[in-house]
Amino acid sequence: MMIKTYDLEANDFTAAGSISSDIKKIAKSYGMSVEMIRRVAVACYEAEINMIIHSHGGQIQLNVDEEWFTIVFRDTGPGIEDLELAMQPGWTTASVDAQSMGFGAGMGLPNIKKNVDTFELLSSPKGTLLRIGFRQKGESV
Amino acid sequence: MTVLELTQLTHWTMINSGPLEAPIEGVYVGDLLSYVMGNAKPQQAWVTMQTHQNVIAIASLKEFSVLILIDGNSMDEEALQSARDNDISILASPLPAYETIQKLVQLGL
Repeated sequence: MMIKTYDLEANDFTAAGSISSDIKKIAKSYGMSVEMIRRVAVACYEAEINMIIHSHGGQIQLNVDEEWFTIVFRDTGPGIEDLELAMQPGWTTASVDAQSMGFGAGMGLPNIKKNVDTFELLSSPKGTLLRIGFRQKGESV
Repeated sequence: MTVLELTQLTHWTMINSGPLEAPIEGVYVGDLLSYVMGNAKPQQAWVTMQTHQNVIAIASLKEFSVLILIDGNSMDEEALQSARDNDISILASPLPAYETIQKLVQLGL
């Protein structure tokens, strides 16, 4: 069992992707298949960017055991008002500034869901929790 | 085709040099980053008008062979430092997007 926790600051675009890169390296070190490593990278990056663009900041925690590679993204708000809308491809609440940088295409959550084996999203004004899992044995998707 | 061969054939400026023998397996064009993350494939050349630092993170995570900027665009020093740190090759095409892509098609990519 291995646990690693990262702190993430809101609006820190320059550091965006660095946590995902580290998690990708760890996935490689566990001997995951190339395909699964790529799925981990895409899902983590999208979730990391979502936290940077939309949240007040928070923590990302990686848990690895024999069967599962699980990543929990937990922020301190302001929450997702309508989860159903947020899951719709193309729906975005990103700022004009973020969109001009190519973020906020409204594909983040759909991209995440497409690449993971388990997906759990809970949100309230106090914060959002996204838990994604990758099955290390008997890979699917 | 390798990154080195593409550089020699186009004469586009290499503003950062990564693995030059990396093979280029096709091209992806896009400026909306989630579309790039969701649809592009490893070892592709990525053509984009985005030039900020986060582009490097995506190029690294997606394992692109080369990043191609258009319209003679370059990158600021922070982004270039990140490209050096992540060993990402970047070519600067002086051409607009359409002509840049036309050139890549002509070369068989």
